[in-house]
Amino acid sequence: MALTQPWSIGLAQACTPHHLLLAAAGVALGTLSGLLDGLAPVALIAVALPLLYGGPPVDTLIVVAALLAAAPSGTAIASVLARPPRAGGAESAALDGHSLARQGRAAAALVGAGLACAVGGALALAVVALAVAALAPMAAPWEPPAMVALLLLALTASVVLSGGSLIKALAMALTGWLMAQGSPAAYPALVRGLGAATPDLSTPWGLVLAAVGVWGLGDAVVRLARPDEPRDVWMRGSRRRWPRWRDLRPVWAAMLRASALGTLLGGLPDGGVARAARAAYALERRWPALAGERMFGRGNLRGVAAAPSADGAAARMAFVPLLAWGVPVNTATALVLGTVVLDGQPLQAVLAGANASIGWTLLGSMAVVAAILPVLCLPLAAGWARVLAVPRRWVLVAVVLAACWGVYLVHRDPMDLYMVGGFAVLGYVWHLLHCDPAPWLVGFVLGPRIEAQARAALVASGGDWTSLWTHPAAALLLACAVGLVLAVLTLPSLAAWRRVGTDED
Amino acid sequence: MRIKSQRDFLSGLLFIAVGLSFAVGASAQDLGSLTRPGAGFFALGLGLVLALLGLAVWFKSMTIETERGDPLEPLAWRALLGVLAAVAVFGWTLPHWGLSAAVPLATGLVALAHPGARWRDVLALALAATLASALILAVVQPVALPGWPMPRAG
Repeated sequence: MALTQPWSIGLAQACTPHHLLLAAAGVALGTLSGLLDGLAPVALIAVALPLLYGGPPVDTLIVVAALLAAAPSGTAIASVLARPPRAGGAESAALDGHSLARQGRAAAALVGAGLACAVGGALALAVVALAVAALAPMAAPWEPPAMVALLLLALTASVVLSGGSLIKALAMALTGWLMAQGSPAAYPALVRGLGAATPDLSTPWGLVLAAVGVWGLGDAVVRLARPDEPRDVWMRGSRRRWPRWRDLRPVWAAMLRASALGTLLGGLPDGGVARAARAAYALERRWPALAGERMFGRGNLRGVAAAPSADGAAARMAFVPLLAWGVPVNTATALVLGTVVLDGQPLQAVLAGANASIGWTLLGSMAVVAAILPVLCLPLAAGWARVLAVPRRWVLVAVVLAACWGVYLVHRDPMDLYMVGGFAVLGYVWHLLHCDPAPWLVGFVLGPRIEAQARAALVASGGDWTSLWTHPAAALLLACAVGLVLAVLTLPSLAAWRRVGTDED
Repeated sequence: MRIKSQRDFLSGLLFIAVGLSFAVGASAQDLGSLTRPGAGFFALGLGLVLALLGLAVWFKSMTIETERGDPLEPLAWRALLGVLAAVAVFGWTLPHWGLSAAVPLATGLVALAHPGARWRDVLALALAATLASALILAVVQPVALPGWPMPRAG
C-alpha cells in the first residue's frame, strides 16, 4: 500500500547519524525545559532558531518536534520530585505524582508518567501518520480564494481561542500583520529614521530576531524579576519500589483515554498542551473510581498518567495542520512556519509534491523519538532529577548567552543583537500590558500570505472582491470562521474553555 | 472619569498609536483602487481597523469595572536593564575586544540582573561562561574569532 513506501524511506532518513543527533539534542533540550525552573519550551525553541537557521527545513522540524515531545516528560519528572510551585492549572495534575513521592513511591509515579508520555506519543503518532497519508493528496496548492479563506479561518481561530481579551488578541494579530510588511516605506517615519541598517522584518531572519527577543529574552527578563523559589526536591524512594503490574493495569485505560483526548485537541488552534492536560485530568476525576484506588490528589495513578499522555499526544498532533496545509496551531509551529526557508521561499504546506520527503522524514524522526523517550526518561529519571537543583539565575544566564551567540554567529552583525534587544523590550512591555504575543505571531506569519493570496485572487478575477466568498470552498471556510466567532461570543462553555488557557507559563 | 484598567488604558493607547502610524505610512504609498489594490491598500485598512480596536480597548478601560484597577506590575528595571545591557555589550565588544572581554561582561551583566546576586556567584558564572564558550566554539565550530585565545592588542 502507498502508506508503507514513503514511511519506510522517511524512517531510514530519520535514522541517519545527523538526524539522530538532532533528535537527541531536541529530546535533551525538551527534558531540560521541563525540569529547569527558568525555561519554557517555546523559549528554548526561540533560542535554538538562530542555530538552525539556514539549515535544511527537516533539521528545524526534527529538533522542534523532539523538543515538544520531550517537554512533558521533563515536566512530569519535575512535578513528581519537586514541590509544584503553584497549585491550580496544569500543576494540579502534578499533585498526585508528588503525593506518591512523599509516600516514598516516587518510582511508581515516574514510571507511570513516563509510560503515559510514551503511550500518548505513540497513539498520536499513529493518528498523525494516518492523517498525513490521508491528507497528502489534498495538499496540492489550493486556489487563491480558498487559501485566503483557510488562512483567515486559521487566524480567526488563533485569535478567538486564545485566552484573554478578544479585542486585544485581534489587535495583536493586526499588529503582527502590519509589522510583517516588507517595504520600509510602510513603517512610520520615526522607525525609518532609526536607520536603514535595521534588518528587514519581513524576512524569516527578521522573525528569528523577533522570536529570540520576545520569547527568549523577554521570558528571561520576566523570570529574572521573580524572586527565587527554592525547590524542595524529594528523591527518597525514586530508585526502589517499582510499581506492581496490578497497580498499573487500570492506568492503561486512563492513558488511552487521555491520549485520545490529547489527539483530538492537539490539532486545534491554541488547543494543545495545557488544555489537553487539564481536560484529561478532569475526565479522569469524573470517571467512576476503581476499587482500591486512592483519592485524587493523594496519589492516584490515573491522575499521574492523564496529563503526560494528553500532553505528549497533543504535542505531536499540532504538526498535522502544519504539514498538511501550512497552518500553525501553536506558537512553536508558527515559529517553524515563519522561519524555515526552503529553496529561498518560506515554508508552505510540506506535504505537497516534492516536499513530501520532508514530512515523512519528520514522521520517521517522531517515531524514533517516541521509541527512545521512555528509555531515556524512565531509567535515567533519577539522574535527570539532579538537574532540578540548578538555580534559576544560572539557567537564565545560559539562555541569554546562548541567544547572543546564536544570533551573532549567523551574520556577525551587532545590529542583529540590538534588534533582539529591542524586541526583548517589546516582549516585556506586552507582558506588563497582558497582550498575548501568540496572536501577534500568527498575524505576522499568516498576514502577508493572506494578503498575497487575496491579491492573486483579485488579479485572477479581474478586481472582483466577491470572488473571495463565492468560491464554494472559500464560502464554507469563511462560514466556519464566522460560526466560530459567534460560538465563542455566545456559548458560555466555550468562554470558560478560553479562560482555562490564560495561565502564565 | 477614573481609569478602570491601567493595563487596558495603556494597551489601547499603544494600539491606537501603532495603527495610526502604519496608516499614515501606508497612505503615503500608492493605494491603487478597489479593483486593483496598490502596495499600501491593505496596510491602510488594517492600520485604521487597528486604531479603531485600540480606541475600543481604551474606551473599555475607562468604563468597565475591573478588580483593583488591573494595575501594572512594578517594572523590573534591574532585570530588564541587565539583559539589555548584556546583549548590547556583547554585540559591541565581541568584534572590537574579542571573546575574552565580551562573554565575561555579558555574563556578569545578566547575573547582576537577578536581585540578590552575590559577587562570588557573578565572577564564577563569568569565568565558567567564558571557558564554556571557548570550548564549545573550539569543538563545534572552529572559526577565527577576535580575542581568542588572546585579546587582540590595541
